[in-house]
Amino acid sequence: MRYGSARLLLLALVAFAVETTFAERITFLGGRPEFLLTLGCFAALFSARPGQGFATAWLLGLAKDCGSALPLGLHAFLFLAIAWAIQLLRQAVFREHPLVQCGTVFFAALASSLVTGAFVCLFTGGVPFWTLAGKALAGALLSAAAAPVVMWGLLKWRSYLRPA
Amino acid sequence: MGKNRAAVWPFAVASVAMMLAPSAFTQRTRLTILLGFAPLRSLADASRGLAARTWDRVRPSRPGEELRRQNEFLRSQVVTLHARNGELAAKLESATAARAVVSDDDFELVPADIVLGLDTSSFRQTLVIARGSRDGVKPGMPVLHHSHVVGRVLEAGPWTSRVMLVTDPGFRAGAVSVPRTGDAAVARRDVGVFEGTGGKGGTLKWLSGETPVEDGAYVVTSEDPVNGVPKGLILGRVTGVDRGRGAFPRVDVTPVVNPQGLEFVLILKARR
Repeated sequence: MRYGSARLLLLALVAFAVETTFAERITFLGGRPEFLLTLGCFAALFSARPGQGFATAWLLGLAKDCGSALPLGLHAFLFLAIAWAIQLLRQAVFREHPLVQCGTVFFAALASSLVTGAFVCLFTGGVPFWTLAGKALAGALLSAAAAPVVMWGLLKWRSYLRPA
Repeated sequence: MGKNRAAVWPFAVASVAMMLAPSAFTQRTRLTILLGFAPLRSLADASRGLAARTWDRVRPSRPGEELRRQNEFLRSQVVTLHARNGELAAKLESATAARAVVSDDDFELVPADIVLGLDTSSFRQTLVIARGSRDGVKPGMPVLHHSHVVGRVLEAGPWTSRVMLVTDPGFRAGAVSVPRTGDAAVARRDVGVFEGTGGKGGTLKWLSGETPVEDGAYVVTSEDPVNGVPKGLILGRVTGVDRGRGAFPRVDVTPVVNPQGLEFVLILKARR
């Protein structure tokens, strides 16, 4: 499936609004679902060429950076690294399968949370280990649970996402 | 593989360059972008109102329809005025409660609406308010709700500011525990350091082992003139004390105010 990056980035605005408004209501053990990261994984899994996947994931990370007190560019860098890893692996997996999407988002969210958590511990202030681990794991589980639904919706809505 | 690497490098270099850029500049840019969310909300409300009015105008009118419409319009005005009255009463009540603790005329209370109540990273606890450096807001200023500390201004953009909540791992303030009963209050009041943990509360650290701390006691700020923090502002309540084997007990503190439920906050601005 091919998608238009600009249209996916428009959807990112909705994901950003959800992450900064309703996300607190769907929290589990302090972890929150990462909708922007799910879109980033989708961008990397279904991009027509590697460059498009990297650029879209990087811009999605930049959007996440806008709403955070963490340094600008941190999430952009993480999303880019995740997109790069997905690009390496995507030849070996059946990307339309919900379990593959679930697993991809789970590991991506877990890695992203652990790195940002470690960054906060190092440069801002100590986060207790169990808080860090709990939030990372719970956030990854919630994101993974939502991923197949989000990606199914995006694949179903391919007429909107198709490049103009 | 080589093609992949070539496509990744420009973005990776750009990310690192942005991370190394001065935070004062990048935060200001981000805060200005986030201001876009405030008009979006009013735009949605306005378009809803316009649609309702247009529908009223285009639908066929019946006898007595005009009177009924006027009546409905006046009713809606009453509801709007009631809502506005309630909002102003809440702001006045909050400011009065804060003034009861901060009676010093050197401090001014500036009300600020909340633009974004959540940080996109679950490890930082911040919110964005609709007051910035153009209103005299500066980093470090305490942010209150009634007599409770909500947080401290982290960065100030021209029109918006980011507030670091008391539960953020970067939040630190000098604090004392005030026992619930009056008898113990005179016993000993050691100053400790309150730190956010990134979860739902914080901890009070570096109190000596003999300091009487009990569950349910209030933790209030100690005076910090350098950072413009007056004494007596409430940080939270003690929810657990672990004396362990070390010299210092670990005191868990939970804030009383839930910042996610707030519509506005008060910025404590030093006049000088």
